[in-house]
Amino acid sequence: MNNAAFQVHSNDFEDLTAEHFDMTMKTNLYGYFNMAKAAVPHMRPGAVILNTGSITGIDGSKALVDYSLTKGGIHAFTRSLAGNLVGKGIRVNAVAPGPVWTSLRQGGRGRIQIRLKDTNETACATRRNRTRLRLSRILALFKLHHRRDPAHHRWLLARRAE
Amino acid sequence: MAEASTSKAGTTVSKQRRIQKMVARKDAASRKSQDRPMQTGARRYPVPPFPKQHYPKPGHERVLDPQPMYDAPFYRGSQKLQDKVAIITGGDSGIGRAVAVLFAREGADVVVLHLAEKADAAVTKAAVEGEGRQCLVVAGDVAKRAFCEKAVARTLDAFG
Repeated sequence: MNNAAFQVHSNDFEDLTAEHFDMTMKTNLYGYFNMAKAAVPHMRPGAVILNTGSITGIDGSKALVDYSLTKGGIHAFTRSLAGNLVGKGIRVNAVAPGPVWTSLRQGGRGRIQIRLKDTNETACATRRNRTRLRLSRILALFKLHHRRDPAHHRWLLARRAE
Repeated sequence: MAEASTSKAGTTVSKQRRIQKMVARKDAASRKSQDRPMQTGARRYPVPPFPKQHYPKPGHERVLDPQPMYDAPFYRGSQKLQDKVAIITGGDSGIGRAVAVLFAREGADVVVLHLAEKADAAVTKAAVEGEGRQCLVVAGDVAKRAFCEKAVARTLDAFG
């Protein structure tokens, strides 16, 4: 499961330095790529790559230009790699959480933002995913999540196809 | 005749106002609770606003307030990942830790990769072992290809 990430916000685009941008790309994109490259030769049919996307990769986020760029990239990487590896019987999926209370975020902003939308959307997306396990799906989770929720979706995506 | 009908209308209007007032009072009383996120879990979850805090990278979970919840005490595993092996980058804390614990509860052994958050990784390892599964911890930077190769090799040595 690709999950490690670097995130620091910059309110002003001019404050986003080349070094900062580089660090975000290297950790969030190269990190996912490197792990996939290292793991795939050893993965058997039925194995799973699970990427951590983000709502910011779908909607964008004004103070997280670099981070949301990597997350959008991860979503495309997920769909593309899923198509590429399907012949080997390896599934590739992503979960795209909304804000979650973790130490990643607390390096950045002090306050968490809430988005409250109907979670039925999530439930429907998950159901579809279970019936189409071979396809990569991006689940956008629109609620303020406590961490158990994304984890819960992850086992749905990681477990054996039924 | 006209007079009687006017007074009837007056009664209706005052009835309507009484209903309106009653609803307005109820609305005012319940407005506060409507602004709160709903609580539909088996236990109460913390509600923002949380205290402002800013910590140096790489991000240590043990200093966060409130402490993130990852133990999911009401969730029972059912061997969905029985005897699988999961490598989780950033598995020391946050979403990674919650996933590590719940994957273990579903029967998987876990390899936690982390940058430098030793103490957090130790907590995750103990939690995975508490679920009756094995946990290997490897420290390093996933931005480096050589580290990723090494981490996979160590996984194969331990669980392959």
